[in-house]
Amino acid sequence: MGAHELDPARLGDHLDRLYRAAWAMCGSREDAEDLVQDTYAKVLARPRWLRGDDDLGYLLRVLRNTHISRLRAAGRRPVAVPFADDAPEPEDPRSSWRPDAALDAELLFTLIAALPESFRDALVAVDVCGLSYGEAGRALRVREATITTRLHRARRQIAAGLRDGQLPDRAARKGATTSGVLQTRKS
Amino acid sequence: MTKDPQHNEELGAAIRAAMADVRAPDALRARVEAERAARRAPRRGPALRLGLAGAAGVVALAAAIVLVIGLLGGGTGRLAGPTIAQAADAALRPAHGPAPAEDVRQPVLVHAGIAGLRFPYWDDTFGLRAVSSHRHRVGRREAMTVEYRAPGERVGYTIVDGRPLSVPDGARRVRRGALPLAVLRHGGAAVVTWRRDGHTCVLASRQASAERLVRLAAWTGGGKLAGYRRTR
Repeated sequence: MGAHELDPARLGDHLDRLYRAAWAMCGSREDAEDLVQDTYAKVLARPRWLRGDDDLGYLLRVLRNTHISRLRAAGRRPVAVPFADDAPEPEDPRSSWRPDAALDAELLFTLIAALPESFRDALVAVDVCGLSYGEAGRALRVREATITTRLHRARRQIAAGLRDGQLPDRAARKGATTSGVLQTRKS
Repeated sequence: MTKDPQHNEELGAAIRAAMADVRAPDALRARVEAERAARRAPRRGPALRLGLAGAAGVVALAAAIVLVIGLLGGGTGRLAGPTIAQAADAALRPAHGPAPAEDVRQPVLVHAGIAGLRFPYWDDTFGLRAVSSHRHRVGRREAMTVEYRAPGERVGYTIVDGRPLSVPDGARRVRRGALPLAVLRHGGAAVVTWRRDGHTCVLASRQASAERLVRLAAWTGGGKLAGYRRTR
């Protein structure tokens, strides 16, 4: 496959999706803004030739790597979790989440940010950024089948979180969704 | 994993629908445009790219005009000078110049400075090593930034030449000895600004606390760092 140069003039086209992805990774709007700016600064530092990547997939990978670097710099690292196939299945959420229910984006971002890293990456790539399974696999350097598995489990955990998070009081809901599910720690 | 594929797909669709309305804020859009305008280098690509490059130039120029209009303070008609926020952006941006060496004759300074003011040597006292420096502009003003690093911490120190920049409303005023400082947040970073010989100094960091930045700003190397005696 031939290489093409990432066009700086077109980078703004991806801003909304990268911002959503950043928010889903960080769990906060403010950190998301900083992460996106750092990502653009890194990408714009020199011409980028992409080989076998679409622009959004490449940008998503840079965003993810920048996020990991920032966590390391801040002394926090994502907790290592068992590989997707070994991870425990969350409770079956079918009785609690209705497919016709509209979802609260802010709550979703909190839940996604709390997912184990590999699950979160798959869900961010497909459901947040809108990549196909194949594009997500290329962006994350994993097989398409792995994306399918991780995405499935990520959604099940989100559904379980939605069940726990649907409390009438917003403050109580926030506390309930973040306690015990955060996957980052201070070292 | 195939226990509830339909339900799983429906949840995926619901997530995508909830995300669709989330847009990047205008402030972030402006920051990214400014980043792009600042980084845009002359291109030497094939002739075919000239059209695209020209178009990119027009877009960048338009973005710059929008930014300048924004800095006019809502169209009051008076041309505003550079702002503390712009200086903080410069301090937060990774520098790419050479690392300034310690001045062995005056071991509280490094070999970097502007407007007769030198940057401090903080390695021994604060564990912050000067890793790069570069001259640039903040608005139309000459400026210089030195980037300091410690494990897990980055601090940018920018000095803007010329008349003092206005401290934004809402900044917290503090005093260390005779030195007045202003503390604020910008883009998720802690920012401290003060003056040395009337020139604006800005420290900004996403890792260091405002208190640490204040300590850094107020450090005079035992009185050997120039520009502090005239502070009121």
